[in-house]
Amino acid sequence: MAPHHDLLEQARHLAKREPTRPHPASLRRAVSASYYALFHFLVAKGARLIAPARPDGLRAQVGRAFVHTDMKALCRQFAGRTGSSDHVRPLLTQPLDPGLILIATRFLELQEERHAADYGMSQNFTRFAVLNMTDDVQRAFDNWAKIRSTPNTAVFLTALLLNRQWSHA
Amino acid sequence: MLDSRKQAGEEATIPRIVDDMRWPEDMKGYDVEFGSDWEGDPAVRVWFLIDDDLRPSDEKLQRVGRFKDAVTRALLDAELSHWPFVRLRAPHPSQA
Repeated sequence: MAPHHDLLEQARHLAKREPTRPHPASLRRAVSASYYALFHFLVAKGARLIAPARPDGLRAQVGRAFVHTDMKALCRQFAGRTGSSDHVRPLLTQPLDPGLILIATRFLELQEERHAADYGMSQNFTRFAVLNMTDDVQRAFDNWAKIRSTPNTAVFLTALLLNRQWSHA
Repeated sequence: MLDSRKQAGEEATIPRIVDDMRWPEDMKGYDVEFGSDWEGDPAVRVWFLIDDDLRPSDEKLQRVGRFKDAVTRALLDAELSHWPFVRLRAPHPSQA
């Protein structure tokens, strides 16, 4: 099974690990795993688009070049509908697909939740909130089939990796 | 100064948007908290208060998920200066 599916399954397992009194640490790790499920999903799709399958290891190497902060900046452009940067805008066909907007929004939400889970020790998570996150990630995976082949999705995945470099070019 | 004026405007805008939405009956209320995101960029968190549920149905998860998405979309469309995050938490005993 692909790493993103494993991570999402692990997130669900952790969220339900204690039947009656969820342990805060289990819920926090579930939030983190939910974020990383979506992160690795997008990285895998991006690396697959950008790099050929051979030589062995090239795609994995490309995948390691994706950066959380750069992905955040790009997702804001797609989620906000307030316009993309000068180097991305000419590549896009408007209007953006709602599914693409949603996946960018989801990434931003989960990145924020993950940071709260890993570093915001004063914040408490409920099982319901965490299961809601795992459900959000599953829906993002399920919706991917509808948008995966569109030109805008190709721009999105490529820009997740290269947006910062383009802005310095 | 400009930031505090913007925030004051958004403190009024957000309740207008949120109160206008069709709420699922699961929600008990909400809190709004201005601050910053994990990188320090301006952010506003809209916390919806909902009781924990140890075995929620798929239908409930989807209903709440759709509501969260609708609120997020409406807040993003309002082009706030603070990035909106819609989150869930259990009501404090005094809010239950």
